[in-house]
Amino acid sequence: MTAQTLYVYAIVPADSPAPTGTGIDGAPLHTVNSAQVSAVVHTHHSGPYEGPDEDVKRWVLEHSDVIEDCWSHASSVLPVSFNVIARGSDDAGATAADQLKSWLDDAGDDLSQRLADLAGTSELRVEITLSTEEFPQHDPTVTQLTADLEEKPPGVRRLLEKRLQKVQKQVTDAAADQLYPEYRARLAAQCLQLQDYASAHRPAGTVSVLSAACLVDSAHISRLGAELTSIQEETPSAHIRFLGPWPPYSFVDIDAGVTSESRDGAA
Amino acid sequence: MALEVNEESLKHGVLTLVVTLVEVIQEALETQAVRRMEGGDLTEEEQNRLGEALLELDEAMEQIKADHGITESVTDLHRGLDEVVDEVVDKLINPQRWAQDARKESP
Amino acid sequence: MQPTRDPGATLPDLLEVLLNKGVHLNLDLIISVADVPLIGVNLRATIAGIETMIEYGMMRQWDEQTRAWVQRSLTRELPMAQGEEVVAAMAASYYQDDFYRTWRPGRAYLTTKRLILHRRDPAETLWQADLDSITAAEQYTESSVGGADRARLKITLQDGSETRISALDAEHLLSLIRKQRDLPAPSSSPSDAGQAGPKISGSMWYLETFAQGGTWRGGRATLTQDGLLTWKSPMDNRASLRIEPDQLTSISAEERSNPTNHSKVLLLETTSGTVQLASPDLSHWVEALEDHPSTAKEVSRGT
Repeated sequence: MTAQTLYVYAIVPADSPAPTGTGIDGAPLHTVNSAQVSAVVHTHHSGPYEGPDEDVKRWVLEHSDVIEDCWSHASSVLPVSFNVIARGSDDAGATAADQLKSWLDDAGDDLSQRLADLAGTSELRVEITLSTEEFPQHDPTVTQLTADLEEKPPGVRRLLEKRLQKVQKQVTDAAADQLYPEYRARLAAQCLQLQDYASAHRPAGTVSVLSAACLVDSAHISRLGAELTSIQEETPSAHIRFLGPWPPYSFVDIDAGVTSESRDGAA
Repeated sequence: MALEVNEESLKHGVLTLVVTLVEVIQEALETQAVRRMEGGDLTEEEQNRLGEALLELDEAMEQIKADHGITESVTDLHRGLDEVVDEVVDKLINPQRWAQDARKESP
Repeated sequence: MQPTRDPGATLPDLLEVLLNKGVHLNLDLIISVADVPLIGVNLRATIAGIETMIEYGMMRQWDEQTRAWVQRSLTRELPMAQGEEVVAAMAASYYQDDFYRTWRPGRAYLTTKRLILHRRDPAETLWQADLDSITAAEQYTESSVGGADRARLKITLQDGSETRISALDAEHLLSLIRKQRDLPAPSSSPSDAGQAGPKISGSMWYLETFAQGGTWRGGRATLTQDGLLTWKSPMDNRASLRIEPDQLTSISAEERSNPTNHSKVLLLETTSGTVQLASPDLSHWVEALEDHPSTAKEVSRGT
């Protein structure tokens, strides 16, 4: 397949200003427009990006820079995943731009609904962890085991240390079970949507209480920050990472109006 | 992507794999030892012998890793394995979550 | 607290999000939605295999086959009645208390009809009792010949006879016997009760409150024997709802819109606010929750 393809960065409302910067490896950006929405793309001449980790990291960041740029200029943005490339169809004699445009036309209602839902929102990520060494310091079993360690011969100590780690982890994990419902409810009250995820950042010796992507009204980010400040003050041994604001990466798949997520009208 | 294999890189890879697997087995042994200790089956004498054997193994492993310069690659592979195991376990426990992800990825 | 955008701190998170989230276009339009080049591709492929297996129910088949095989190999020596099925099996011993007093090792099999102590080689059924004939089962601690404390079970039958057995996981076996037999757990041993299986468990909708109102989320609720009510969505890492029995002040049901075809919603007043739950099996849950001794006295049953 030799024809031109289009590398897609983001979907924005049709009336959005033209993209300002450049794309991956300095590729010039343009848009493919349909009546309701536009796709921000560059003209691509090869296959998907692949290579050494360092290169991939650079490409991914350049990809995210384009999305950030759209996010700051357009009223709303649907970020597209890395390495999504549209091609033409030889059978239909359609170019990549034709194919992309027809998809934008077909999915226009759905996409513009999603864009409207996400207008004025940001994604923030909250990760609350407890250190298995610091948190259970005052637990009676842990204190007892720590005291026992002192007078034992080295071999026994080696086993007891392992046992201590296990108990510390159990105690901390039980505490996390207790804290999660409270923290989640408090954060949810400041968010439009909340989605748990498995954290990419898992330092040894910690137990994750909560890792959630939060969809927040961009004007109210400070409220979420304030809630986290009070959690931090109540539990000084909790370690909190608060990341963002980002474009709403984790929330583009929200199915607006689907029964499983229907809003409660009575409340 | 061409895969370059020479004697050095092969040796490095195989050693890393073997040492990482020994570490994983050691962890399983430790877990078992702690369980037996908690069960009260082991005398203090036995506990000490077991612990000392583990200490010796710790030292030997550090030595091997340092001698061959594979400390870092073993750490990476070990962490990679842990993550894969976590992920598989999570899939088995929460199949619904993954089914949902799969739907998202192939609409 | 201010969020951070420092790329040094957030790079791995950003990479994860960009590689896994975002719009994925329709497949026939795309050369590829590349799989993550940062992580071992082969390992990913393995995982995809397991995922597919679960999706197509292959693991279920494997599970059934394995269980059928266990059943067959077991029943070669241990004849089962029609419809009788093994619930649990574990290493166990039986205390023979006639002219020759000793602990005889074997395996305990709890079936849907009987509790059996069987030795495989040479094959001998050491002891067995119909579950219907068991009037009490309790745990006690005894000092073994070696001096260590060991948890044992005492089983009382209708004819007044008592049998002592010991098992690898005596607590678990006891909780299973009680569950099969509906025997009450003695209130004197709270640690036991924590081990017992849930009192009731099933799918449940939970109304989670966000900044702009509530969203019904599907998940699974569990009420344990000691009255702890939890609700967890399969999408979440931990249970989002956790109500200890002493936090629950009243239970009522009210007509409200909800995702089930049942018109009523379960309202739980707790010390930290009102919780709304919806279930197609609402009456069961109301019964189970009211049934608990610590809440029963304060229940006001709304209709």
